[in-house]
Amino acid sequence: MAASLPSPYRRFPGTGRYLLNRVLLYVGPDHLLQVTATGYSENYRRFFFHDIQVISLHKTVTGTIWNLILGGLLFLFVGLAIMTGGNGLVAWMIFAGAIALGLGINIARGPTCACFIQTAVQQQRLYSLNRVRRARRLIEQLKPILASVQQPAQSQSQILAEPALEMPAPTPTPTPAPAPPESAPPTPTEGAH
Amino acid sequence: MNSGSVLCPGCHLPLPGSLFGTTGLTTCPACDRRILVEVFPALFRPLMVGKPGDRLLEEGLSSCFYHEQKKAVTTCDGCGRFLCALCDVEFNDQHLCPSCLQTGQVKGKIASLETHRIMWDSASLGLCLLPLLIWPLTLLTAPAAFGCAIYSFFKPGSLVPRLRYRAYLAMFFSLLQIVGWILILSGGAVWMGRALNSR
Repeated sequence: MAASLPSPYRRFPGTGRYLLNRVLLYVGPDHLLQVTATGYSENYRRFFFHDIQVISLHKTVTGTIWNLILGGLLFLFVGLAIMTGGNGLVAWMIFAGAIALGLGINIARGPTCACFIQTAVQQQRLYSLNRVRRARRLIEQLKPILASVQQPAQSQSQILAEPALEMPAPTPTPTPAPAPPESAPPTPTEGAH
Repeated sequence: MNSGSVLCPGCHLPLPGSLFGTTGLTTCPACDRRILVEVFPALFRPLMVGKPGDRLLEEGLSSCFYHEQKKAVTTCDGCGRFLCALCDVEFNDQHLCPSCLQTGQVKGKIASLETHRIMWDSASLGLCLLPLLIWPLTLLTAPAAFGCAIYSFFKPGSLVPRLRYRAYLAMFFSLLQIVGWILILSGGAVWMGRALNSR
């Protein structure tokens, strides 16, 4: 029977969707682990702390679109409730309440975003970080960890201050052969002329 | 991807350095999207140069198993073969040869190289519940789901924390289905027997 060792991973809040898959993010001892769960299997992608170069995000309009859709539905249901009155009022207000709850949650979660992580060989989207606030919280949590892990790496200023680092090694110049002494006897070939 | 270049997450065009590490969201000059870019020291780290391995110049020195002309610098912790600097792969504080690394990945011996795992408990639960939509199929799928649920206890589970309740649920529901089928079939047999006796 498979032994169940304690997992070194800690779940980072947030669930993303990619097609029909569920995407989760975990923080491990020396890397981030993105888990894509297909339902009967899991695919793993690791981003080691010493390889992470950039974490970037851009705001998306997904949250605004949802706000517009939910706001429109809320407006519709409230309108229907006012128009029908009586028993219909209660029924439509229940629908409107559910929509208002969804709208409130969407507003409270803040603006949506697409977050990316960049290493030397890839730029990968972190699907579970789909809210700006959550993505910024991860960045704030990772900043000190990455700074300590990547400490030996040279900073940008140090790289720029050392232009010779990129230069190829100078080729050795051939040392001139010592001139023959003037008193040296002529070689046989010289004498042949 | 070039080391040292930072691309806009929206339009994937290079970004100027003034946009890095800002406290709030800024605007990409190319696509006007609101962006936030956090840069870490690894971006400015020069790429590591691989070691080609030294040529074997003296007689009697051990050579690499894969390159006879190159001097061995270490042994593989997996198979014990001599390796040159080119073949030596340092991984998880171990020195491994490329074939041991590949074998470890394929056979799942090195957990940190695993990129895929089958969740037998989820598979068994799906195999148990989904065929209820076409319920006669459960005659076949219920024993299979029970077998999968048992099998899941002998296979490594997820890399991340995960409870075993799916396997227990699958065992419970598949046993219910099996018992149901036994009752239906035994009831049917009794009914058939009575029908034959009455004739």
